[in-house]
Amino acid sequence: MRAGMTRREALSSLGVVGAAGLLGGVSCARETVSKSASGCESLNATRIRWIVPHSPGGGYDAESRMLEPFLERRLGVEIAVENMPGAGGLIGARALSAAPRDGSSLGILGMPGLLVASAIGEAGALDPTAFTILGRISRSWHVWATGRTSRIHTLDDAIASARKKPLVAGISEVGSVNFTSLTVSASILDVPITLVAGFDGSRAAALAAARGDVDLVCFDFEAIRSPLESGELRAILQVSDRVTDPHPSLAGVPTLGGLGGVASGAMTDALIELIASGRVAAAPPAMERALAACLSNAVDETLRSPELGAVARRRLDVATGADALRDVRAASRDLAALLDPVRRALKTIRG
Amino acid sequence: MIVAFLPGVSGATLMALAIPFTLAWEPLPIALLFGGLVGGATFMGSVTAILFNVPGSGPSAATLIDGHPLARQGLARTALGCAALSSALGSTVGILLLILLLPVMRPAIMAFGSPELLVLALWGLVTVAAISRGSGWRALAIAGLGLLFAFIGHDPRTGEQRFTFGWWYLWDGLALVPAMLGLFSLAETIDLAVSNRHTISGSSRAIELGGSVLDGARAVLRHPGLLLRSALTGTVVGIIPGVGGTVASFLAYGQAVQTARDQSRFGDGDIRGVIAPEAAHDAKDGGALLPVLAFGIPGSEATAVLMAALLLHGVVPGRELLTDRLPLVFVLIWSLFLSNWLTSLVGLLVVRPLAALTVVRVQSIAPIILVLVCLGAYLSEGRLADVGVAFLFGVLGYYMKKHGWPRIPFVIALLLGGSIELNLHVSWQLLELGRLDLLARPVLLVLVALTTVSVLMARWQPRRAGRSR
Repeated sequence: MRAGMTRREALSSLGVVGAAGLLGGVSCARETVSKSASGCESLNATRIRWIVPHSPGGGYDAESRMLEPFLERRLGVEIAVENMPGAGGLIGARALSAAPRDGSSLGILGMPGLLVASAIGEAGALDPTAFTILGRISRSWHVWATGRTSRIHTLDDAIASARKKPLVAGISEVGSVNFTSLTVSASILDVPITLVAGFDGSRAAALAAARGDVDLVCFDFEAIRSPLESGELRAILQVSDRVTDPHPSLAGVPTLGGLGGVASGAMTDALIELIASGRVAAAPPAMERALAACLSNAVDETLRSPELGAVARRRLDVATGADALRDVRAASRDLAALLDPVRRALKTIRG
Repeated sequence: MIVAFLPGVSGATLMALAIPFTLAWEPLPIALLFGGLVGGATFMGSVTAILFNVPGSGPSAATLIDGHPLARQGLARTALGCAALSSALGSTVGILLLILLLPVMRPAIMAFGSPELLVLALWGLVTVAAISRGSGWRALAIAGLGLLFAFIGHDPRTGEQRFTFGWWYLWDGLALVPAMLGLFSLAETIDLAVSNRHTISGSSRAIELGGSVLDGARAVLRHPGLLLRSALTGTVVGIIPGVGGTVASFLAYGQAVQTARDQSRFGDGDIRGVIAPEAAHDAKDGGALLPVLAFGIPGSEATAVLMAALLLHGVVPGRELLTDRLPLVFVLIWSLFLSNWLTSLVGLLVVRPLAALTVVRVQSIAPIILVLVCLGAYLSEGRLADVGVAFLFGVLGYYMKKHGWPRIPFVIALLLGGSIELNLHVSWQLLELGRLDLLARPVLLVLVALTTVSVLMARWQPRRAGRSR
């Protein structure tokens, strides 16, 4: 009679026990997710693909990964964040647009970028208003900034200097939201600018301004927050109708909407509406109403939940799906007012 | 370490995946995690490069040039031991330089504008073309072809699409990782499969393998100057936002070849060809923290994710870190330092079983390499088309190898072409507007001098005959 197990038997037993334990653990975990969720009954998906149209580590990715665990709990469904960078966000947006409408694919989209691409007729552009918008997550207001060694300290300095010689402004992508924001706001204020295009992102352009290679950059506040805070850049204008952020670097910096005079009008309103459309949680177009409403509620509850607020130390700027859609439609409707200066700038660069 | 064994999975990817789990954490543990993930990922990328000719990440491609030939000679243990110690020491030098440069970080970063980046990229291209074996004309021609491929995508000045043929996949240009996996790993696998070799190392038993971990470590200590120069190269490149570890590794490799008295064995298993890129690759992480601290601008993909994680927790990267959050900075630094050493030590412990993979029969190992290549190509950007690209370049790479065309100049041109064009356009525009005084930029003048010296050295040094790589 054998005294004990052979090594092979012992290993087999361990393997069986281990597998059983693993399966049991997984089942418990899934059961825990299901039980604690107040999920959508009409949602058939067991797993949701959350599309982020930009690379890991950026603002879109960070916000998505911040939302993920809370939304998972609310929906009772596993959410997998999937990065689909490329073409300035269009590749991810197109993937979401073509995805099934059963709730198995959701994502985060930058509405200003999609609106601009659609308005200027960029190849492959989509109609942003066609998406099923579940809620607004945040907004990124733009700021004009100059380098700390620049002779331009205020907006009045910029206007006075531009009258003698056009300001040299650095931009990254031609046809992007930043490009639109800069060219339109310069047109509104009648500030002649010469664009230097092709910088490798907001960081390269910000460094160029800090170095004095260019006079001016225009990017969203969060993208250049750190150089503003460290004093390398100085904000001279907020492209908004309200104070962008209660941040010391923006204290006393005028807002475009608050300037009055030449700065008030349809073009200013349209530009602010465009930027205000913000980053939204979205689903593929023409989603069934009940499912869309349910998902929208879940997203809204998540965004306003105290537990998300506790970890989102960066301010969000949330809105319901209906309000966000209304903002996007308004921005889309009024975009025509912005096209002239944008097309003029494009013609200058592209010939 | 374990996950980073998969090609295409970098420290930045791991960090991004970890973000949801860190939401309730304080910033200090996040800094520890960053150092652990980034430090742990880099060495493992080199392991697959040396053993299977599959670069775990872009920077590891420079290691495989001489690392894999060493494995084919049955010296995998030596190569891995060398990589482990170079990696740890390079990281240490990078961190020391980071601490030394902290007081002068602003001028150090501000010194690199578009003209400097242009000349740096040109230097990289010229160096690698110059060190390639065989005909110089072939190297230049293939570098030109690489530049053409690099221009696929969109024009950086006008934003218009070029050579994309309406195909979405090409909108942002050709992806580097699948191209490299194809040109090196797949091409070598095809070559291995059609050759008479039974195993990668040529030996059929692990006991027949030569070399040792100690030999590899001793080799590093025998070349302190090379180690320091390479680590310095990596740190400086790391300081420049957006340049990346791949450039650092290849630049270091290039300078290792050009400064060597005997260049005959480079490309055939010269241990110096492992020391240089490994030291540079890991030193770069220390340098990449400098723009984060000075300006709150990420110096690399990994620091971009770190910044995102810190911002989520209310910590704004930039000067605030040095004034109000100095302990956090040093946690970051120590974490990077310790994880690199720990990874190297743990890596050394598994060198023997890993090296034994080089005696597995080709019929068994080739399919595994194929799977790793497919995984690596897919995981880098999550696109199935990248796998197809890897296969296309694999066939191209095999024929290039078979007919004596060097592949490294092609890869370097593909890597640097975008930066060259972008910075050329910006520099030209600024020059036309009178915003640049080229003679008043000392760093630019130094880089121009280095590039000129590289070109002249390539002309004066005797052409090295033999197999092109």
